[in-house]
Amino acid sequence: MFRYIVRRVLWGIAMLFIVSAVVFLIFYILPSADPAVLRAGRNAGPAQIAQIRHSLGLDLPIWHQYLNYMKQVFFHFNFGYSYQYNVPVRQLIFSRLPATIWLVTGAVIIWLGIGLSIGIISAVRRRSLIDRTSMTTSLALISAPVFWLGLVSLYLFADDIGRFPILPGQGSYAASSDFVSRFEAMILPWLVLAAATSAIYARYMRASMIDTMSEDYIRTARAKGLPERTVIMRHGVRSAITPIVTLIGLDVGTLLAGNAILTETVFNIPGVGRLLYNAISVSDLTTIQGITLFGAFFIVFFNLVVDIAYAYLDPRVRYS
Amino acid sequence: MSEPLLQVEDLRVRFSTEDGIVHAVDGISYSVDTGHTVGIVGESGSGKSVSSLTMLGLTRNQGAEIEGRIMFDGRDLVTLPDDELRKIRGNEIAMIFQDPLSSLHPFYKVGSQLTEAIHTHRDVSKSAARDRAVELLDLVGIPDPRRRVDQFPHEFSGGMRQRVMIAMALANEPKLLIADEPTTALDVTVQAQILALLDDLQSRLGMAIIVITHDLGVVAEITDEIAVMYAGRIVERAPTRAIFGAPQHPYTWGLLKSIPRLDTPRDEELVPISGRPPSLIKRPSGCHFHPRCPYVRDAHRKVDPRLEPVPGDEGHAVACLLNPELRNRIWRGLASGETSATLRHLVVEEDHPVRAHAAPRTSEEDPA
Amino acid sequence: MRSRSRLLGVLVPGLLAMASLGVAGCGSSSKSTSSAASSGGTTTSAGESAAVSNEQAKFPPVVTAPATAKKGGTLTVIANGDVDYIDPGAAYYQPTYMIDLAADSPLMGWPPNDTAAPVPLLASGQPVVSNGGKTITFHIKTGIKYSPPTGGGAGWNKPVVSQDVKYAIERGLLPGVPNGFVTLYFADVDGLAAAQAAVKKDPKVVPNWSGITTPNSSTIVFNLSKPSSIGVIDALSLPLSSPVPQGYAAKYDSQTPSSTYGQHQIDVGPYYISNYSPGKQIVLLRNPNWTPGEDFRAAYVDKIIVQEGFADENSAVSKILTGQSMVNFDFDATGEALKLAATQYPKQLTLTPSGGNRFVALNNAKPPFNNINIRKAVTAATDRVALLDTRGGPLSGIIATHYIPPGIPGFQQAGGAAGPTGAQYDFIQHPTGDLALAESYMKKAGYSSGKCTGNCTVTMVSDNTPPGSNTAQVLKGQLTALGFNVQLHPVEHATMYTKFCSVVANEPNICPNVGWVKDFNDGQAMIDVPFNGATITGSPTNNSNWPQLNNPTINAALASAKLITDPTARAAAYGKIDDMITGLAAAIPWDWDYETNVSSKNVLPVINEFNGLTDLAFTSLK
Repeated sequence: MFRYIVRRVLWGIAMLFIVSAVVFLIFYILPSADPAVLRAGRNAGPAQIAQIRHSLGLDLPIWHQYLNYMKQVFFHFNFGYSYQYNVPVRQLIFSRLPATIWLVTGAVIIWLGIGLSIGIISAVRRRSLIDRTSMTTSLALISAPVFWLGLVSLYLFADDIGRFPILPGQGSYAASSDFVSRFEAMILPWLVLAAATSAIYARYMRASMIDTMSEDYIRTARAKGLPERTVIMRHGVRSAITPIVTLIGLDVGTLLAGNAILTETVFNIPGVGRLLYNAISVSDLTTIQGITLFGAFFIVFFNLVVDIAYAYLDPRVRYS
Repeated sequence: MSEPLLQVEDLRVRFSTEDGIVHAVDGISYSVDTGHTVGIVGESGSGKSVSSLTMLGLTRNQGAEIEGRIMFDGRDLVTLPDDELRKIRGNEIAMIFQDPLSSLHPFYKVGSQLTEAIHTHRDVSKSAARDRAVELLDLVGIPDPRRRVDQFPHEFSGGMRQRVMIAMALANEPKLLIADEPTTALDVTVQAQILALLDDLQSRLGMAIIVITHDLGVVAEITDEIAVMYAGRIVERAPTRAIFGAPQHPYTWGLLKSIPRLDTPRDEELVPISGRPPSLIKRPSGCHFHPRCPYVRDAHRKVDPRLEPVPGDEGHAVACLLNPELRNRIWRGLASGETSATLRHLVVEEDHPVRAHAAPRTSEEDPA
Repeated sequence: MRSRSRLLGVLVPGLLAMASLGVAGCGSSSKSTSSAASSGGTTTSAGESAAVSNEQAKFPPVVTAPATAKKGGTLTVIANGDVDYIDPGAAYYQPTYMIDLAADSPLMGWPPNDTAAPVPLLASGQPVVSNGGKTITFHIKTGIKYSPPTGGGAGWNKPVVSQDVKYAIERGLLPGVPNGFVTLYFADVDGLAAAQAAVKKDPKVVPNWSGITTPNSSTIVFNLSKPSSIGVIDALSLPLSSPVPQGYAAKYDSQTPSSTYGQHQIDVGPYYISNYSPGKQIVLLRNPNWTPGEDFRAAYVDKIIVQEGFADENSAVSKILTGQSMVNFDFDATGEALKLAATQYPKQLTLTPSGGNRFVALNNAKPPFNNINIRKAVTAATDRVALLDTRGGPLSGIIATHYIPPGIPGFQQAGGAAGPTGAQYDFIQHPTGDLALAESYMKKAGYSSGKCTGNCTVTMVSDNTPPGSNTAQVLKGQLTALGFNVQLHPVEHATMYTKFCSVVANEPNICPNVGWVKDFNDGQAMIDVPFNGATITGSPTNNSNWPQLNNPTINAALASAKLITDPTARAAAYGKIDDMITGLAAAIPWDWDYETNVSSKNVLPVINEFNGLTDLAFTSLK
């Protein structure tokens, strides 16, 4: 197992190199704004622009820039300066992470709770009214775009512009400072972000449960005289949930990498996704690189965690 | 004579499907005495597994229609409410299944699966249950039980796993153990060990056993009585000796003749039973076996035989329209190596003796 | 005023009250040329006498604080993006000035209701211009103290001295403090070249600019090589000249690649920036070291929070209109939100002429638009009313007929709202377009059918988000009528400038989303840079002369107009140059827009007419 972890970690590091190199390439190949010109401000003469380009290291060949950047990242944990905000990228990212972590954590808890329980109930009561209703609803929620759901929820429930003003609306997270008001501000975003995901998880769990409940060991459990509830939970769910664990790792990793951009935008949550989008708009390469690296790290990390967890969940799995 | 432990009376189990009603079990009756072993033999689709699952109520949630009675210890299991039946499952009646690898939960240690079986029906401390688990493993012949009780099912070999299943079934000292194809997934040497184990356990613990299998060789060893099932019915039921010594039903003959023997010449062909098991939705008319029977007569296509005792032998019942002397002659012929093709002439001769009147012509119905 | 239909929100053309346009407190501020400001109204050309409504007069801005204004409370400023630089030495973006006007004290300043000329702010009185206009002497107030620094920590407890003003301007030469004005407006100050050379050698040390001298701690003198004092005095109202002590800032200015002074700045205005989270928020608090009465600013609210990140402008406007204690920052109400404000919250909406224009730049340097007849044809064919509609119609601005907008000296001289009269300007006199006239010009260009034939492909690079993208689409459709095959490439806003429209070698045939906003109420600030040939050669990769107009007559006229000191003569000169540029059809002017500002019900906003934005030092809560 230890060797396996070491191998995965090394491969993860290689991935980070590859990802950052690809981002570098994309930035230089596709049309984007010239950061030196943007920073030089208006009416800057060519000499001034050249000076700024030099101070930003942009006049070096691409591979040299890339090497310098990676050296800084690995040896000094320094991700450079944001061209746009003139603050260290690391500081920028860390200032945005808490909001995204808030958003993701709450959403994960909600979608797991709702999605898994609905999946289990639907599987156990197949073709019942509950099953049909929940599967149809889940299809609707998966199809609805997140930003539409978000805007509709604001229009209905936001306390400033909503029809039934019961929950804090757009921008309330940024405006809140203590735990309780942050929590309240996050309720709508959590529900919106969790909606589509819980629908997906419900469907997965249902399918996984249906498969599991037709296994022989379920028959054995019943033959042992166990109450049906125990059969479902301790024997059925315990098996059915293992493929879901893999999903969770992927979802959490990508969300922390900025995948919650739409929810963050609709509710004006200053998270990593917004930062990435803004950075792309103004071709702030260092910030884009920094977020991409962080994101890749999260994904690699959570995938590793999930794989290790899988080995504990399923004793048949042995990594050599 | 004491009351039998288990008495199945005219059990019928039907399932409604999109294609029609499946008559999985079509009126079977048999009984099992305390301490005895009954074997139920048949091909796949004969209804043998369904009948035993029904005994434990495990077909109830599949939409089965169940008729008849299953008397166990004075109670009718068919009408017993769910929670009462649950108290019997894994307790007074236990069941083991064919594939021990898929029948044990892969994620839980063997010990905890055993203690779970114990805790379901007994209120004992955790350590007492664990001790009992170790004891059970030892009982079924697993070496080093104290260490192995904390291992997972996939860490056991096939035969060991089946022993674990048996241990789990025995956890609460059942009066009746149902073994559904207990050795089918195992190789031959291990098979013998498991059968010996069952035999040994039975004599030690005094429980009754029902062994369900398609393999006559298995039941020869350990059963007291055998019931042969075909198309959801028992077509022959007799003490083991009689089944092997003087079988009365053409299906049983076919089963016996299809067993390869070590002493037959190498180039002699195996003799399978021609045809396939019938659909349980649209069953053949008359005698359900008639499409595959080498000795079929016209009348057999219209008349459905009942399970009736063989004249002169109360304990031996058979459902066949051929008359008993004819059957004996055919069996003698088969036993001495003649083929069914040649023996068929006995039936034909009987059909067409020199007689004044001929049997009325009837239209033939093709088997389903 | 004709009333308009409230139910439909459709604006019925009413009579244009030319007077209100000319007299209305003009010269309001505007955002940077690259931002999307919008406001509008409709105008007609002199040739048509159709009546248009003047929306602006219905939502006039308040430019003085009411006598009953109360102190206290927290004002929330709702923002889409962030300031461009939190460092006042580098700030260029117009909305940033909203903050800088409240936190900084340049030598000269702009009270909300005075736009003619800047008023002494840090200076103790008007400067003395001597030596034939080549020497400007300022005396500064004494006893002014610095605020606590942004982000906390030890500040600077010595009072403001003139050396601090000198240092503040000099640091604008560092590559780490990229100030966009210093070479433009201070080009004539002696010693610039030497200072720039010193910076090139060591970009981490602020150079000594020999043309700026400080004979004593309350006097600062600017020595010019040419008598262009008016421009210099105007430019000293920029936040660049707000004092920065070298002893405090040098350690931050020596950082590479950019100075970190902005995040640790010390301010001298009535408010100071106590906290800055990039992209998230800016918090301003009362400056404890500012004494009320030390300059013309009041300070009513106790705290100002700029909340950033509101991506959807429509819902942000709704939020402001229906909420409490909020105003807008870097976006205007446009389109549906503007209509909503105008119809349902009219008391919470103000329209202020922005002092800016929008025009479609035609690349004069290469075919086909190097041919004046083709340029005139395209101008005649454009339906500018339709273009204005993409920004919100008459509520968002009025149709431009030349380049200097209302309120800037030279506007009336160039023809006012109706534009220049005379047959040689016929192509600009039809706001809804005149296809027949356009075709006649095409024929003059050699296309006998009146439409383009042969190689008719023209490239256009536009914004990829509304309203800029919509404007481009509408224009594209109109040009097709003349037979042009328009290849439209929408890209990111910043990319549009830095990779295409501002790069001389790479500029497409048409850049439809450009415009210019005044830096000061002066003709030079409006039409010099965007139409001067010197701009092209000065910065070929950061060029702001998008039409690439390089006409020797105009270049010479601009050079000499710069030196005129008499205001009347100056206005007349720039008005004339404006008409010359219009007559050359160098570009297609189409919008003189409004700043459309919204505020919550309990806010008493005061609009600073200089930049058209809410003046934080005068706004109060009910």
